[in-house]
Amino acid sequence: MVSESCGNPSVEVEATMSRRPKYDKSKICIKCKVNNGAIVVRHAVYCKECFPALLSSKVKRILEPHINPKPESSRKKSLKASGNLLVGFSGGLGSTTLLDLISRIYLSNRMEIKEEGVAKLRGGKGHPRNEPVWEKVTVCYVEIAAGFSGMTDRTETIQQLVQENFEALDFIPLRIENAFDPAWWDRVGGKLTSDMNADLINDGTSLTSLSINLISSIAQGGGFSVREEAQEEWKSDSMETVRLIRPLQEITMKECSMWAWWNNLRVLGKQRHPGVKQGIGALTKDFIVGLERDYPSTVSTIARTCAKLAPRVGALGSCILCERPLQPGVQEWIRLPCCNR
Amino acid sequence: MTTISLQVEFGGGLELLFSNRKRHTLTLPSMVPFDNNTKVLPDALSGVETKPADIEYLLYHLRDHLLQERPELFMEYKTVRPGILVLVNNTDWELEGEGEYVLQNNDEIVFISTLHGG
Repeated sequence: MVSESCGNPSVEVEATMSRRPKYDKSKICIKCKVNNGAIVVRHAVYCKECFPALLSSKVKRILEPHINPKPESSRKKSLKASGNLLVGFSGGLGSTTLLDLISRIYLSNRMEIKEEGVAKLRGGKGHPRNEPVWEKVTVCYVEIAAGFSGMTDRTETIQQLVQENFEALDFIPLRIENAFDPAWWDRVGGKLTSDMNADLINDGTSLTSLSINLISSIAQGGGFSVREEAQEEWKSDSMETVRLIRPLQEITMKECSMWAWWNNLRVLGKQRHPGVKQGIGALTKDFIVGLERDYPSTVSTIARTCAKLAPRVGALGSCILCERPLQPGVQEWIRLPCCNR
Repeated sequence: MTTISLQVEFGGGLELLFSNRKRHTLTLPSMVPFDNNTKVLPDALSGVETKPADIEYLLYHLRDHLLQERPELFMEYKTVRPGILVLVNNTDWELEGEGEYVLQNNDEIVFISTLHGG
């Protein structure tokens, strides 16, 4: 039997997806069941007091499986990474939120040591509670202004922001043009890499940004490397593995914004690329941001579904520019000449 | 005619649309036109269908009287553009009825743009 419905929402009201109520059950916090809720996160209500624990648990769930657990000498589970941590920072909402959460979850005792001294630590310096997960945490900012005419160099502003608000962290400013300069790599880059000794890189891609990147990338032919949008791994010449993890990938832009607002975080925002017109990326962003408001669960469905995807064939090496898996046969996509010429 | 005093704050870059000022103090009439017409004077409401001033009306008022440019970046289809969070007295407006929340004297309404990037 053929359906007579055209499925056009502007013609048929029934064709429009029905909207769920904004929150389930009551306005009381779903976690403590005592306080009045202050934020709705995918139909679940949380109070301001329980919200930090929600975000912390999400970050830990993504990040901690990649930190080598220490051999257990006591009942309490503790973590000790084999390398150091590098956090990519753009000044945007996601990376500012990430830096703040990482500082609060893993680095709060560094400030305590700095302000009150090692002797004041409960249990002493050698107590497992006080041993840092990473010996060194570095914040890296890459200035891209040289690549776009009219863009402002914000290195100094970013450096000031990081040093004022995240004292416990080292800051390294880099410039995009350095990546293409072999002399820089010989003179500076190699030593930097070795000093940092980072085996884990974090960036502030939120669930919303991840979903936007996934759909946008697939729409432009990037389906073969869809897995790399969530997590990437590189092996150096010495076969050491560096992993890029996105600890905010289960946290929406809304949650990041509320965290930044309630904690008075200074968010500089990302600069728009001058002269860049609306493209697939911008259109996808409008679509996904709209989904997050009206049908919030669909945004996480995008990320979860894409996480299940895997290419049917193996990669043919890596792309020389982005170092992501190269799809076999991609070089056969040549531009056909116009028949009139 | 009674009035309501409100504190309105903009964040996340949204203040750029409102004279680059983050905080504004407004006074609105307690009863407003049902169709959100912000051009009707409060004294000329007789014969006009009215409602208690709610957030939906506040949006129209902000768009028509405070917004300096690019109204499409603030409002879309009778509500805020997707990507703008609204807090009513530090609480997500989704818990307070969104546009239908009836404004009270000394309420603090915050509009935050989330479109900063990651």
